Amino acid sequence: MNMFRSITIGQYLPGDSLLHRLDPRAKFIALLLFIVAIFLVNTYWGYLILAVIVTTFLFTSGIPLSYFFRGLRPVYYIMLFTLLIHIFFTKGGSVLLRLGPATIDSYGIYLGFYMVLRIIFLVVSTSLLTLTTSPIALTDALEYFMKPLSYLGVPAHEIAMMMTIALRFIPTLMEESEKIMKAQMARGADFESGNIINRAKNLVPLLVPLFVSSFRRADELAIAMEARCYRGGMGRTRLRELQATPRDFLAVAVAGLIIAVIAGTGL
Amino acid sequence: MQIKLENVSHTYMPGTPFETRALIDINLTIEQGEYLAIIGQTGSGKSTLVQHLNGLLKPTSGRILIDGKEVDKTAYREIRRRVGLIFQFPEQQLFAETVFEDVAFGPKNLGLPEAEVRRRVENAMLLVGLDPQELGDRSPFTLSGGQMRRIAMAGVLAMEPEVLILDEPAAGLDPRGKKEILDQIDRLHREEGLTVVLVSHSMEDVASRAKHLLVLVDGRQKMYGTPAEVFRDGQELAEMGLGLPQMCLLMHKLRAAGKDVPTDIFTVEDARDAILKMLGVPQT
Ligand SMILES: Nc1ncnc2c1ncn2[C@@H]1O[C@H](COP(=O)(O)OP(=O)(O)OP(=O)(O)O)[C@@H](O)[C@H]1O
Ligand SMILES: [Mg+2]
Repeated sequence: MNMFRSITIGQYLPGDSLLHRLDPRAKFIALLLFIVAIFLVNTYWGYLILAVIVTTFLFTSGIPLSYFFRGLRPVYYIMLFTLLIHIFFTKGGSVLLRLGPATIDSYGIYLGFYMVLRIIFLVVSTSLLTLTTSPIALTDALEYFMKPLSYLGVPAHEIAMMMTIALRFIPTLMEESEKIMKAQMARGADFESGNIINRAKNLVPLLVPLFVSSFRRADELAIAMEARCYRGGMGRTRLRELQATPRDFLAVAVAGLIIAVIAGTGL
Repeated sequence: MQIKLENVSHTYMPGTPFETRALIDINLTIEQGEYLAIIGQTGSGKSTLVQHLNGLLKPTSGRILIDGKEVDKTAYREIRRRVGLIFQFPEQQLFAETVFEDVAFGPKNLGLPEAEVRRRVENAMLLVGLDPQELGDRSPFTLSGGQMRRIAMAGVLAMEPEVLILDEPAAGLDPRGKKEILDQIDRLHREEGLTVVLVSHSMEDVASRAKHLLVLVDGRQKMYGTPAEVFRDGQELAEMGLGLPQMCLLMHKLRAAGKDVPTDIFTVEDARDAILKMLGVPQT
């Protein structure tokens, strides 16, 4: 019955590796560049280079491998699904297998594995970011990037604050769902069997208390913030200023270099 | 029914950096008619332990026997019917439009006929001291916190369990509300013959009520016995960060001062009698 807490995909793990110490903004930009690289690459050699980079960071990040891959479990299904779709529906190349009217073509298999590789790289690299960056640092970085937009009237600080709060309450909500679910199971509720309609109906005893407590929490939080004179981003100073160091610029430069090499050599 | 735990351990999220060993090697037998109090500081594993008693959590190692038979998957439904568990802050689980429907949730899940559901709901509400006629049609969300807690308790009692487990039923209530709830539990034990397991972090609340006490410290079972046995050694309990009940402490102090008084005294009345006896005052 620990279904919720076992979903650890991208859950921040405090640590002291190079990745942990980089400025979140630098990590963001580097990740963005890396994602571009993932889509630029179209040879297996290119992927080998990316794989070396990713595994190096993974091994030096101090994140236990078992924990890392357990967190990816939900993604395995997406990968399997992608692979099957391509194998059965992408046509081209030579026909490898004929099953009645359906055929499995060589190009489908090729493309299927290609897509799966891309998904792996995407998920692993983004998880590396979220696993080594606290949610607060992440939203700080986002707020920084959105700052130019505030001149256009976009409430950058408010959006960042909303994201911080939302991220902060995800574990709380999961804990609470688990608790309410157990409480209703103790009264004979069944969340696991029945057809779709019945299952949806069975969720009412879970969702109503969850909504009630979320609204109550939101109310309390708003009061607590107001009691401490919170009034949005205007003139607000920070406890932790983001401070970019030469190391951070270097990280971004290296990521840029990788793209340049990949684009230039056509890997 | 008898519930027996053999070397039960529970680890949350094993194999991750968040691994927590919440229970370590618990051995415990809960007999029919027992009134057991589980005491421990916050985080000592009390809630984890009671969730094993109705199959909501499975032991990481060790086993749980009910009437001598090991619990397996197929039996969970049956066990949850016979063992009612009232969670900490149960008022947070209310969801239905009316009080009646909320209390009826459990019996309906058991597939009982309409008339029987009605009988059980009314009975359960009376047991917790609420008037079914007056409150049945109200929305549970319009009631006071104390009333909501009683409704949640009625929701479990309406399943007519043989064993009633309550996780900190008095938490967050004022002294009077606390006493009322605890007295009601005593009555359920005495008059309805329910086996009761009561979780608490307050010695005061349970010392005079329970038949046996189990003291948990960091997931381990540190002491087990009747209140008199557990409170015999005040020093040890104090070292675990758990105080003695006030009157018991008084008796220990008197003894330390060389007076001849018993130490298994938990209520003011008993303390008065013991002191009068020590002073040699004849009692009426
Ligand atoms: N679902 C869970 N996932 C992970 N860890 C948990 C979970 N529930 C409890 N724990 C951990 O297990 C330990 C025991 O928790 P438990 O809730 O059983 O304590 P408790 O004695 O009931 O405390 P309290 O008096 O605060 O209710 C704690 O360290 C807690 O953090
Ligand atoms: Mg608890």
